[in-house]
Amino acid sequence: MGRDGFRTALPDRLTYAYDATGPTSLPEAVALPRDADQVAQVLRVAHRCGVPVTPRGAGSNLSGGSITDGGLVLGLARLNRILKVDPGERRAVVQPGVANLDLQEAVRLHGLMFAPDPASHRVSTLGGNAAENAGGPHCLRYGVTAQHVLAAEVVLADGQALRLSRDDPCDLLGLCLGSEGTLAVFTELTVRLVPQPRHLATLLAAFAHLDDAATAVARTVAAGVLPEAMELMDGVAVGIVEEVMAAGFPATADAVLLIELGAADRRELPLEQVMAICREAGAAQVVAEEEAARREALWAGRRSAYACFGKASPAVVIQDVTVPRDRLPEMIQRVRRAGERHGITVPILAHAGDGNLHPNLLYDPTDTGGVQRMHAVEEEIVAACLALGGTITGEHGVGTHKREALRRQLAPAVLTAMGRLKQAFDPAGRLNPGKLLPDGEEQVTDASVQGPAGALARALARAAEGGEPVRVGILPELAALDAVREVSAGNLTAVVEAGVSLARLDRELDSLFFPFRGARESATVGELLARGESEPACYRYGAVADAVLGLEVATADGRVLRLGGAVMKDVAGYALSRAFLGSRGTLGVITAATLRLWPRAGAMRWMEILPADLAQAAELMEELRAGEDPDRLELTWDTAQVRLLLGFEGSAESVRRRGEEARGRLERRGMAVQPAGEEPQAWRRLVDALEQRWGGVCRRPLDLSLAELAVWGARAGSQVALLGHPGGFVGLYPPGERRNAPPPEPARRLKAAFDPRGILNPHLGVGRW
Amino acid sequence: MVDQERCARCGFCLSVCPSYAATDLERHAPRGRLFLLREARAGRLASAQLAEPLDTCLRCGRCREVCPLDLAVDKAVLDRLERPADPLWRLLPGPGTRLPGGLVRGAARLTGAIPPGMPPGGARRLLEGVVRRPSGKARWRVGYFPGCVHEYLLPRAALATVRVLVAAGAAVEVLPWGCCGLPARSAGHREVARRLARANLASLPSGLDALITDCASCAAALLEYPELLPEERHSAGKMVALVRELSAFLTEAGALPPTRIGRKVTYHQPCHLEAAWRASPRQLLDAAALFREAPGAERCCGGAGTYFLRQPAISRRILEEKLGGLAAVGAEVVATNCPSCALQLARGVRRAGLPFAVTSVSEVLAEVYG
Ligand SMILES: Cc1cc2nc3c(=O)[nH]c(=O)nc-3n(C[C@H](O)[C@H](O)[C@H](O)COP(=O)(O)OP(=O)(O)OC[C@H]3O[C@@H](n4cnc5c(N)ncnc54)[C@H](O)[C@@H]3O)c2cc1C
Ligand code: SF4
Ligand code: SF4
Repeated sequence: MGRDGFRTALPDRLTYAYDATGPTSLPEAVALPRDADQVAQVLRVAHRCGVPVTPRGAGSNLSGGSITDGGLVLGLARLNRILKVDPGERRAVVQPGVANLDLQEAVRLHGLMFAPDPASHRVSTLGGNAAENAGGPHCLRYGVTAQHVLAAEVVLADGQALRLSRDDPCDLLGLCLGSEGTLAVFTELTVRLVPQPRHLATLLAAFAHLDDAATAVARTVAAGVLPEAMELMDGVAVGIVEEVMAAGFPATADAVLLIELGAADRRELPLEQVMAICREAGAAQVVAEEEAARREALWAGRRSAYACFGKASPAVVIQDVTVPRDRLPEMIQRVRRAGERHGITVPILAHAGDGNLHPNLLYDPTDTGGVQRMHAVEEEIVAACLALGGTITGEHGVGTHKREALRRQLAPAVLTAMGRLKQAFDPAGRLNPGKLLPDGEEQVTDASVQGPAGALARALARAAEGGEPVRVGILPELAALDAVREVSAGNLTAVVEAGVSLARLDRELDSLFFPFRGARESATVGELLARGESEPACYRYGAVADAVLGLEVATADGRVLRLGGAVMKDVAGYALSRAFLGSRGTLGVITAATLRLWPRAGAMRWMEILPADLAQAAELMEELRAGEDPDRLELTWDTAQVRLLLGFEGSAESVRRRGEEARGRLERRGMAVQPAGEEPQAWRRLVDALEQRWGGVCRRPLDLSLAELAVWGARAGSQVALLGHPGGFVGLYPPGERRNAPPPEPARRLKAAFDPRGILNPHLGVGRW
Repeated sequence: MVDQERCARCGFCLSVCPSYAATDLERHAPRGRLFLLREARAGRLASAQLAEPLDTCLRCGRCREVCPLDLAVDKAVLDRLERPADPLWRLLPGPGTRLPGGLVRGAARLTGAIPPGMPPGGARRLLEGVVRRPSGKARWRVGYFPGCVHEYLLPRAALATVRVLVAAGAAVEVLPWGCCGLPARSAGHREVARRLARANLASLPSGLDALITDCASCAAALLEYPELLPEERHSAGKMVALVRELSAFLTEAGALPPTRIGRKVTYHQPCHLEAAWRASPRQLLDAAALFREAPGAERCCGGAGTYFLRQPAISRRILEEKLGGLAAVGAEVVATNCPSCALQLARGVRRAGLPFAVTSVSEVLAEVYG
């Protein structure tokens, strides 16, 4: 790597001693590799010498994540090439040091965008975004960074390189996302791109009462409108911005909402509707703009808010907590009271639709009393968000800043389980030590859990003692887990036990909606989640795992782990539930889940066409995507027939209009368009048929583009693919053709850690090794 | 004084800093420089170790534009460089004089700063005392300040500016001014810069409608006179109100190009060009020729006065990046409004054998005005 790439001079050590958090710590040396091989080399050598390594992107994180503890900084800034932009398949392959904004600019020309848009997008790197699972205003509609990473090349602590994708029997990729550089170093990312909405409208609504703004947010979400962004500024923030830059906000407002609406078709823009909702909720002033420069002018105050706080105060701490969506107003009031109590000014910015808020604490670092009071407010913010069922960090991460606070959110058993996850990836503890988890052993003192989940856990413990294999799918204890524990219309969530069938759940949800259906008609929630079946709803709703906000799991050692919670954004600790979602019961038994719900759409309409071959299907899909933008696209084929199903979902008017336009378009292309009923069973029938033919079906996502798929399909003979979402397909295989490569080492170590006797589903996935 | 303690270390400035882009080293980033300044002030870093990180700053000022706290790292670096005028600087530019022409030209030739084909003498003789009037009644009376580099090294550009202004209807007087003071200031000789500024202010003719310059760096230096000469803040302020970059003057006055030539032109935006004036050259070029914006048009060229001599490696990397963007639009002409940038770009074009010419905005405009 040479002297330029390995630096030990004091000015270099000093300039890698900080990130955007505040505290500093001098590293021993700084390594700046130029490619993945050099990254692996650095990690190998460091591993041999026992030197701790801290990966670093742009050092813009706000939780102390890229500061070392005396070891080596592994700077990834020089891996900054965009390797490929594939507009057709809507994805890009990038090195981790590419700045978020640079990717945005590279794909903008193609009418696409990378949805995660942290306020630090100009500097923060995609590797840093992935490692922090960063969010931004757009995440309300499109989801956080983890939902936009399709595959990754990583290097483990010992220098071993691995390719991870949704392909794996155990979602190692999902575990690494948000792991703050403690599990693996990203050296390449394949990310999803989404089309920029062609029509945008920005709406600014000023409210005299914060609660009215919150009502407007809730009603907008309940109406099934998914804005591109829905940002809230409280009165204190508005006042400061007005004072510093005269942005034109009504200075008396107690809250200002900025709502951006987007659609591919101007007629789909629910502008009038949302304006009416704001007015009815009591907005004192509502302005809307569609022209780009004027929209930008409405955003100016919000975009400059941080700069205004910075100018108004000697120093600013940006806090980051998330509460269930309907608790946001109460949380804001509590923050205000805490600020008032301690004499600290706390302007608040919030990603309102997600319940994620950033109280900005203004203080003077040279005034020790002031610093103490600032810390007191921080402390109260953490306490308040936990009391309201929230999480101590929604997007900025735990780092060093919130390690201790994590103990107050997560049970000792969960922290212990997370410690095992860390060990499975990095047994020697070399990668970014001292971050994300608190120090020391946890005292696990959980009393035995009551109810059916506890009973199930105890049954597993007994089986483990005797070394008896357990077939998770037919565990008798699952039948007792049949309660829909809670449905929250305000937060749009439900807590559901694993044995509840999806059909029953759908009936009980009433005006709410859980879009995932499972391949078997009789599937239960537990089965759906353990198999990780996202098709076909994922085309519109993303992977089913992303709709799981919280998970309850019984493990082979007789414990019940409660992971996550009921909030839309949560980066407190590892995304451990990813280990259990899709791993088919091999690591633990899912007993209940907190599911994200959507308002039930007014109408749904399906139609079916039979393209001549895959190439034609691909062409038609591209056209439809750019035109009527269907909400479901399912491509199925076997040797005999290619079949394309499209579904339209939304208001009755939108469904009718887009359906008719799509029919016209397809008929002009010479296709016969058949209506396909309410909820087509075509792909279920296909799965059934294949199960009968093969005596079972293996499914795994294919990391293939449409063009590649056409080639693959021509070769694959009897195999079948279902279109999942724009970024991927699912291949169905006869069980015998399951890949025989052993799972990667971390997956095997995870299995050993969570199920040391190997009793859980020994015939499946990682269970077989 | 820039308060380095205030830096939030958010890193936003990393995204625009040319020296950081060239090396990907935090010591060459604005945030790193501020941190090192802080450490030096606290006695944790020796001055000798501070020199390289500060000398590699191009003082382009881009960091300030994105900094949420408006911290001007270029100024912080300058403040640190501040030192009493050494004898050599005291001797050379006496009050009211330009940088010594022979020295500038000699040094420029030696270092390859001047592209071949440059007229042997400077424009000093050509421009000195020049007063030009339009054929009809003059709409404005303007003073023109060509600046040292135009006078000595790129007189064609200066003459083109005079022609354009006259064609647009202005009576033009070339100001009897010396150096704007920027080179002295950049070398840390604030006192010399102050002397030059004071002399210039004293010899400003009265009754001007505008003070035109076609050098973005000179313009930036003039705009800083009130800060440089606090005791003459009032008269400096009045002068500042008159200063216009050539293109900005023309667009503001509504004197747009009367016709269009068929050449493909692109634009390099000098770092020192005032934000308010950045649209004007593009607007004029778009009206005067087939204009296309180059990717990274706003990025530094790496010239930065004598930077290309002091930091050849970094300067070259910045220049290569820059030329890549300019070449991407397939233009025949790259126009800019800073002679120091023009020289740097011309050097790069020559070295890489690229198929386009570098000229001043005024030379493109001179083809269509008049
Ligand atoms: C003003 C300001 C506004 C911000 N706004 C937002 C916001 O809106 N939303 C938001 O989510 N965040 C925001 N942030 C926080 C920060 O920008 C994000 O956390 C960002 O993702 C960090 O990226 P980075 O490249 O700077 O990474 P760094 O800060 O360098 O590192 C962050 C973490 O990722 C690890 N890491 C970095 N690169 C890799 C890699 N290649 N492989 C493995 N691990 C790696 C590091 O070890 C560290 O733990 C903001 C920060 C600032 C200063
Ligand atoms: S942008 Fe400003 S505050 Fe942020 S790191 Fe750079 S100099 Fe510091
Ligand atoms: S003035 Fe230019 S080179 Fe110097 S730190 Fe700022 S952006 Fe970098």
